[in-house]
Amino acid sequence: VSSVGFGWEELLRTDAPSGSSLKAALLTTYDRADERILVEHLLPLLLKLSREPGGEGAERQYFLLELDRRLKQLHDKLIVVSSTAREEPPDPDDGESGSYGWIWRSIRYLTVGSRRKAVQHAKLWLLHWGAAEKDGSEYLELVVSSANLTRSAFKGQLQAAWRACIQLHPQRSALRLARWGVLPKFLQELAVSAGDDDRLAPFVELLARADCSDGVTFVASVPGIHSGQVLRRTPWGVAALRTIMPRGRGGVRVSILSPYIGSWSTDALNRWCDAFEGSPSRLELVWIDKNHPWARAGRWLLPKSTLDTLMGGEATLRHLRYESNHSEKPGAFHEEQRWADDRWCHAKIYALTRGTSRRLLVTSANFSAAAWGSESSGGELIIENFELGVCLDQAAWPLDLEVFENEKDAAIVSHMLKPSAALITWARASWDGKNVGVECRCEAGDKLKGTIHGGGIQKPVSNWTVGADDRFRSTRVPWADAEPPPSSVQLIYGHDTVNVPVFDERPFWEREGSVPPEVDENVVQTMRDQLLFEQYGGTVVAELHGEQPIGEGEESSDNDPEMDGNSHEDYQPGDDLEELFEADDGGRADSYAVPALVLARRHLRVVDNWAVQARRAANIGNAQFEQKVLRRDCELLIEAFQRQAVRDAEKGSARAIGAKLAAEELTQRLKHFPET
Amino acid sequence: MPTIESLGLSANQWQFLSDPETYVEVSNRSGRNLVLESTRRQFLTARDILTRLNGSHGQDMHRGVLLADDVGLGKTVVAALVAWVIAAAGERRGVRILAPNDVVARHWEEELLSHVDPLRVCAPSLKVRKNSVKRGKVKLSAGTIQVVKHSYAAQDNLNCDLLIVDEAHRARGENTAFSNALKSKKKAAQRVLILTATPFSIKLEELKRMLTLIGGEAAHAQVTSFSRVLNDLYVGDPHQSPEGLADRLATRAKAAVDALSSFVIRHGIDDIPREQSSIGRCADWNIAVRPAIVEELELIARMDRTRRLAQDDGSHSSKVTNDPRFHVGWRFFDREREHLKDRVLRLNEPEKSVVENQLKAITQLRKEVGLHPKMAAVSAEVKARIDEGEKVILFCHHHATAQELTAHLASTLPKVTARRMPAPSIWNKAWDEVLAEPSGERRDENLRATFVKWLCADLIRAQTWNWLCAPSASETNLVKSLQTTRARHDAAPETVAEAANRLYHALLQSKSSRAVLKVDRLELLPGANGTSRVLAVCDASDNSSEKALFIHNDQPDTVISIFNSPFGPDVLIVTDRLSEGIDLHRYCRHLIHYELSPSPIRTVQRNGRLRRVNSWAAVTDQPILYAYPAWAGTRDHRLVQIMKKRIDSFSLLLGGVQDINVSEMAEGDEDWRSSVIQMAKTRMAKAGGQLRAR
Repeated sequence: VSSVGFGWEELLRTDAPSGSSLKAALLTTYDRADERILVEHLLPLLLKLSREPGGEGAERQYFLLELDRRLKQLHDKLIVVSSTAREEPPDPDDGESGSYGWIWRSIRYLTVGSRRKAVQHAKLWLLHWGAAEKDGSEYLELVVSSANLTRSAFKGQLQAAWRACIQLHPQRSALRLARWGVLPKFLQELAVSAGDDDRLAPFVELLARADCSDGVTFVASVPGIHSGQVLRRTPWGVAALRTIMPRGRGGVRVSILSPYIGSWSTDALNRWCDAFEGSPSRLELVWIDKNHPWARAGRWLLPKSTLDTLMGGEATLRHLRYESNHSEKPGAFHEEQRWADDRWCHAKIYALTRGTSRRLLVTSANFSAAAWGSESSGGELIIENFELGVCLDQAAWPLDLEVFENEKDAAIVSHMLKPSAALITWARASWDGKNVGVECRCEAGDKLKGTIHGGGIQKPVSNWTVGADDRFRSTRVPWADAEPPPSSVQLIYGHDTVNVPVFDERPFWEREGSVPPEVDENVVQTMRDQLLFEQYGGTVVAELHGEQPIGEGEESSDNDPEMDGNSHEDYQPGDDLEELFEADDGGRADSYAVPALVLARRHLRVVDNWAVQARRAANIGNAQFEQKVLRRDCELLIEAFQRQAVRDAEKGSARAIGAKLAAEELTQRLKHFPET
Repeated sequence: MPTIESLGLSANQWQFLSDPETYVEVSNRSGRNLVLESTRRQFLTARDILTRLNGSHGQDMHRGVLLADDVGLGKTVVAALVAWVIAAAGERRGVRILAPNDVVARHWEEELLSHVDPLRVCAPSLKVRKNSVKRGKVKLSAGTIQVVKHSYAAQDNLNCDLLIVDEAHRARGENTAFSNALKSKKKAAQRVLILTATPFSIKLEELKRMLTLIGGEAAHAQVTSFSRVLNDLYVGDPHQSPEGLADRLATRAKAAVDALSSFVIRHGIDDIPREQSSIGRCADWNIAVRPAIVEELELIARMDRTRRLAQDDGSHSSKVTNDPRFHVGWRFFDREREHLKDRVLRLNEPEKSVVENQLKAITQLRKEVGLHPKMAAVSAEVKARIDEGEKVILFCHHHATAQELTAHLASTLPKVTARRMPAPSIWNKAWDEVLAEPSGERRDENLRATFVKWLCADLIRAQTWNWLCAPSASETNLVKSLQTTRARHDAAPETVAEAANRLYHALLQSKSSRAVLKVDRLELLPGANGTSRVLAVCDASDNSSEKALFIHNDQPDTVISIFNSPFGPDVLIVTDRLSEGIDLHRYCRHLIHYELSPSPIRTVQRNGRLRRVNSWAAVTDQPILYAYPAWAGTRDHRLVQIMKKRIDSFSLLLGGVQDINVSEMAEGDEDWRSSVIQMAKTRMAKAGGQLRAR
């Protein structure tokens, strides 16, 4: 349900001001994050890549290198947390997909369950945006939705999402942090469960610098057995519904849209309703009939027993029809939705109303005890999942549906199929340049096997150190060769197999040289230089083996002649200098400007753009990260210009002047750039 | 069109214009050699103008005429004749001439006075008197011709019977004082004669204003239309079909010419083949300059960068940093480096360190690169030419360039020496004998003595002795040789003695030259001080040891007169101040564009200083040589390439070529432009021919 468009890429956007750049991100998902949706859609958006993933030949290689470069700059700043490292079976519709496992060298991939079983079901994005050019402010963008990081979640499902982009204060404030309710604590619990207690602390600090929007309350669940005392302090799960219920007299009505309904007994349902002063008779559930395609495909699931419980409690079933004969008629969710749209609804929305007071909860939580918790015999609340939702004051319930004429027509399942219990519940792997460290949590016993993969090389994992509870295992396997680096660890325990990405823990100077597998190593340095120049507003296109220079055929935007009185913002990728320099007389074929001087100005414009950014970074707070990146870029630019001078000199020694001057000036400037 | 008063002239009063033969004969007798063919055309033109202005021979009376002859065809002669007829016809009419500067104003005065004697013979009905010609701000009275500068138009009233506006293309810009004055005072002049070689290089609005001034409003639409297509040619889409644009260019040029034919008279230099022999043929003079080496280009690139960084606030604004002067010499470059050393102290880090580092590198590189290759190449060529007895003129666009070039040439060209020369006292006596006494009010022994002293100066003596090859050093032989030998070339139009007499006469005509002679300030006479064969008319350099090489712009008359004689410095370096309205052709056929201005009009005007009736090239039957030396690998080279293409089409487009911005030029575009012009050429040349005098 969206206030914007309805296309599958609606979620793939940002409200951050243009010009701002990503400094850190946390992305959570239930399913293992699909590398392809990340590489081909989400990361190009978030990293503001200039190249398109869909290109061919050199363009494709430039894209991969640009992505690789940005990921390396953000090494360990991007974190993905999922429920399991278990891979989904390949989608037959995917065709031949690229192999993108290398992104996990830089992106920290965490799974929950390091201490006890847990399900990560929340779908939260926290995006830290660095200062845009104009206002010098940083931003925190939050997205709470029902979308996992999979292709099917984006392309095959309808999702609900809430998004906010909030300007950050330069300093933290405890009061400000408190206004975020359970969210900071949720992040802490998530980190602990992922076995990396402090990993998400920087995001908590960002919350302390951001004002939570008025009328917004976070509702979260974290796995565990929570006492009443704990819940009073941090109301997880169903306890949180009390905090968001509208105040006033009379009972609270609740409307529920959820594709998956758990098994509810009458008692459990009553207790759930009691939490927010509701009752089963004031509960409305949106549901589909047996003939609905979502029922036939097994997308929406409602146990017969739960339907009986609901009907017994005089709950209302609202009929979400499928208008098979009116495929072009607008659907129930959005004016742009059509019944012919074959996406199924994965959104989870709850509305609580009392009188004219309304609350709308957009969440990851299905209507199940696993999500909301069930009361133990000891009065504690047992929650299995991490869930996160956001409650909006006075937001309207989006659906207007008729009551089911006959509940017997409702789509039901006789019983829920429980997935087989995971035997490996948590795992992680990293490489320090010498050893691959592997840790996991699995069933007791000696059935755990492991293999480290890297390029075509495989190494068995053995010599496990077993923890006191016989479940935690760890080992270190020697792997000193960076060609190829280790990419994943396959762990097998009985029928359970997980593939754990290997995070690259080497120092940056050792990491920097690695190349994405698809990229031709013979031209990688030239392409990297090119991308670096491009990032600072310049380009020097070099022909690759058998490839057309990038931008061939595009109109040259040559407002950058060697002479004066011209603007500076015109150094565009696509200026094919090689072609321009073909004239025999040492001049550009299509211009009267002097090539060596044109080239010098172009190279020096890269220096200018670097200097502008360096000046800005010096004048804004919280810019240590930017300064670090700029310093390193400066070092890389110096080396790149030295190489460029050699390349330029191939067509005449005068052409090397510009690159030489650029390298020389950057060396000077670097001496005055603050150490970070 | 507003009604205009009749001038009340009779065609009989310009009857003499139908008899150029007699006029030429009379003039030649008085020592002013005219070429019959050219005089015939000029007389026909003057007659046509008078007919149109007066409404004779069944023609409508015209408020004015625009005379747009190519440079060098004698527009001043034509206008001077028209001025005399109107002022001296006894109808109590006054003529006012607006000249762009003092130099040109003096030239006008000379031109007007040169017609006095022949007119008295050939047109006795006209009341032609020398004192009818007035210079400067005097009250215009009946029967007089007043010559004033353009600036006069803004200050005083322009009431007169005929207003002649010379070099009208100087009236550029919507709000210049001159332009406004013409706009507001157009009704003050009964008739207007506008002179320009470049009608379509004038801004459209200015051109339309001038047409209005001469009563040619009816041609506005066609002129606008042609201007637009010219604009399309220079700033339009170069991907459009050249055939289409060529067609429009030719069609609209034809329409413009048709509409203008009542108000405009024009002769292109190529339209008058019969006069070619008296004007001289032109040829290219190739001066090869070694291409820039890496160190030289690096110097330019470093200076460009350093100036950018030193520009105050680091905003990298688009002020000029790659100065064109850096591409034609090192002196300005070095001066700028010194300025930057001062400026660096005001910079903040890191720019301060970067600039300091650059300046260090620049200083080191300057030690490595030697003499500027263009200076070296040009000076070698100049030396070769003056060794052959020729004079050479070099044009620069900037004073700094002219100064450096002058100093370099002065230091490298050999001094004039002569063996077994007669003693100065013998020279003195010989010149005293040879030099005719001036008549009338000009007679002044002091002036003459100074002039003879100059003729006896080291340079002039040596120069003259080398021409004479006299058998012995006796006074008698010297006198005889001076009276019989021709200077510099056997085909020279005058003997050495005649040349000296003509020069003396010319100097006496000029107020400033007379002043120089009067106070015996020999050092102000070019060639009097030392033996340097080089002289520059531009701001003097700061170097006191070079002072003698420069004559300031304010008083160039003496220089022009001497350069138009066989005597004095062989090499003249000037800026564009001397590119218009003056003659430099009498003893010089070599012109080097050492530094081009971005304006093709300037280049055409420069060339026009030598390509004139009775040029040295014509009388010696040798070509006029124009050199465009270019330092390959720099912007200097680029500018030359484009300039040559532009000036080729200058006349064809009636001056409608635009200034060059090297940075915005693309060679492909210029080729496309050339092909358009080539396609339209035949039709346009034919149309242009319609504007000839009838």
